[in-house]
Amino acid sequence: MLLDLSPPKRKQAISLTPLIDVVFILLLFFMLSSSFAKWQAIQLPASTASQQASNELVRVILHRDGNEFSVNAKRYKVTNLNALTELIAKNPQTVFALQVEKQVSTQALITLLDNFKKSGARNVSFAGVIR
Amino acid sequence: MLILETPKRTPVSDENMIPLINVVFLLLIFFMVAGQIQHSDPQKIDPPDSISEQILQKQNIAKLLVTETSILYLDGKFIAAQDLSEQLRLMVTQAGDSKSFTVQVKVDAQLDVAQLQTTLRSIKAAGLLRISLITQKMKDQ
Repeated sequence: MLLDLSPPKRKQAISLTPLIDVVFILLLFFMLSSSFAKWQAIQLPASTASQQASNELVRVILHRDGNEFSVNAKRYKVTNLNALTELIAKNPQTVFALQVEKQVSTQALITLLDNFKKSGARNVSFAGVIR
Repeated sequence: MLILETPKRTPVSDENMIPLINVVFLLLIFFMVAGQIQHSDPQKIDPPDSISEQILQKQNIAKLLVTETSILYLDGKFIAAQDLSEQLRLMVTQAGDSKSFTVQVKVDAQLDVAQLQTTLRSIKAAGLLRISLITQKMKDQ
């Protein structure tokens, strides 16, 4: 009988290709189905009873283009934060009732609300659409 | 004498692929950890941008979607505007706790405010006191 004295064969490494395939498929799945959007909320108080009934009420009208608003018949740019800050500083307890003209987008209303908030307004309410 | 030999092809080794696999694994881990898998909306809408940082309530909620053309979807299902109040009343009755029940309204940024007001009136008509408007973080922030 002949003895097999040749050096033992090296074990073949496991092929990585199927692993890469699976990982690529998983990567594609997570890339396509993942969402990175961060949602936030603005509370809209549904109660109409106002606890600031004794405070001064100022009517703010947001115009159709969404870029300008009026307070006491004086027009201001929505982006004019200095004018807003001055308005609010006169009486910080003032309640600002926002009214919008027809065909104003929700984004324009939210931008104005945000700018009031940025300028230090504490009491802002949405009074509706001007008919 | 010119000898033209075809170049010998070296066998492709899987070892060369290891850096690629490392990168792909890192990407996979990133998307698994950082991303969130959510139900997609019945129609794609673009909510308004806002500076608000209030976190969304997760429980005892109804999700109302309003598209730019005022089509309503309540919890992913189409609903006619005139049926909204009734359906919400039913949902509150089933939930039991009407005080903490919140309607999360996700509207398109371009929706007419008049349409939004009509929808809000329908929600109020169902006797609901907690309404929150869903916004997204300002893009320039």
